Amino acid sequence: MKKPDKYKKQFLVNKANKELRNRIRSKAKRKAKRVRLNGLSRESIKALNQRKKEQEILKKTFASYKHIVAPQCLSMIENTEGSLAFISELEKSLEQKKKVFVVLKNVEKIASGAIVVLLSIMIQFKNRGVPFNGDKPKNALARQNLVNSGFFEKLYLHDGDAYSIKGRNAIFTHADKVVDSKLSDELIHKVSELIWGQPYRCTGVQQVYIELMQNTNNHASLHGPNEHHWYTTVTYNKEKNKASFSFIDYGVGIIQSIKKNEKGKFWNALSRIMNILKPQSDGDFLRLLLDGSIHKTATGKYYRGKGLPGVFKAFKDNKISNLVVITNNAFADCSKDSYKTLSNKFEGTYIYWELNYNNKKLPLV
Amino acid sequence: MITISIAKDFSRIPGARFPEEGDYSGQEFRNNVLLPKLKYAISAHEKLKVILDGTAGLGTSFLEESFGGLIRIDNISYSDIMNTIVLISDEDEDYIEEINQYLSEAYEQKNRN
Repeated sequence: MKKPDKYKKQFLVNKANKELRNRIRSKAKRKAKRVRLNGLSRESIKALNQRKKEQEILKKTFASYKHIVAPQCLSMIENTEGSLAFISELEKSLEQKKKVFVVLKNVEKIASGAIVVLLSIMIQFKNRGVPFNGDKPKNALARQNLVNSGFFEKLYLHDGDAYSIKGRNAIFTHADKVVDSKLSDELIHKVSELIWGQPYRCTGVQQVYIELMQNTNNHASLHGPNEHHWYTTVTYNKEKNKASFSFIDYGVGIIQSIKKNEKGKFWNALSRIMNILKPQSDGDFLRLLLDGSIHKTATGKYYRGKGLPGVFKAFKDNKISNLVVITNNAFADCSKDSYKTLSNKFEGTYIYWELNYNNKKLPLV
Repeated sequence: MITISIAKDFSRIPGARFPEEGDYSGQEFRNNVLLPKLKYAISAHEKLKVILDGTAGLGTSFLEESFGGLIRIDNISYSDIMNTIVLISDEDEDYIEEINQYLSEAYEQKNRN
């Protein structure tokens, strides 16, 4: 049966309205694009379009992957909780052996410590044969930092347990399982030359490295030594004339290794430690560990330098600056005398410190 | 007087406690450098000067194994060590105090066992 004219007329009016709406929307889109691209060179526009295309291809290619979105500020120091929540999501997927696509496109700031954490996670995914991929930040500086770190180039030289990442612009990243005093000495040689114009010995930094590498080798696993990798990255900031060091191990974490390791040196004294020192939280426990109180209570002796207290001593002696420790759910920012318990856990240990012009150094011999 | 320099006679970059943990370990230093010279110095009634300066930095495990190990592993008496070894550390005096602590701890541990 033929539709009455009034319905046909209404249909045409609706169709016309829809077309008008689409035309207005397209016009607005074109205008917004013109405004957005105004002042940009042809190359920049081409690059933008290219990135857009890449994003679309990535979205299609990795549709079956679990997409985990990184926070805008990916920094273990400046956005500890946000970054840890993101890392925790990655770790969960690794445990479940789920393919992961890391969405970095919205990242506006990415710090070197977070890059090495990402890198260490990527290596864990690769070692377990779980596919891992990701996109690049839209923000030019964040993208540049990530590219300079060597993260995307996958150019790490793999020699047994040792990794060496070919970064650019004074970024050095390495990973291993053993104590490598030669490597730390070389890193110090390079950065001290950048800071002071000629190479120096920085015995504090060297000692920090040896203590941390030894800790990873001996204590990072509850099952025995030499199970976990440590990762380190060093970046030099020319404007501030300082080097930033990040050291990570994906072991059980310092707090857990003390509270859960029945073979550990503090196990028998743990109840005495808790009764006498009465740490209010894990953050407070970390403070007591750093300043040597826990060892003093456990052994009855002043604790001079082993492990974390040794790292803290190097900080107090002005051999390093701005020491930050994140382990399990404990956070310590030593220069701010800030010790707190985090909502999100870090399954391992992250240590950050800086070396600047005013730190102690010794001439080469 | 007999002299040992860790930096010159062993390594400028001493490392971990045991060889399996990394190169230039305290155990290697003790077995290959410190112990032979110490035994000789004790038998010859000479002093043994151990110079700690000149290294890239010394880890606590390296120092503990090097010096504490003399009592714990090699059964050298505490008094012989204290009467023979002269520690020199102009760059960082804390190292001397640290080593003395390791020696006394190893001595106490030995007596307890």
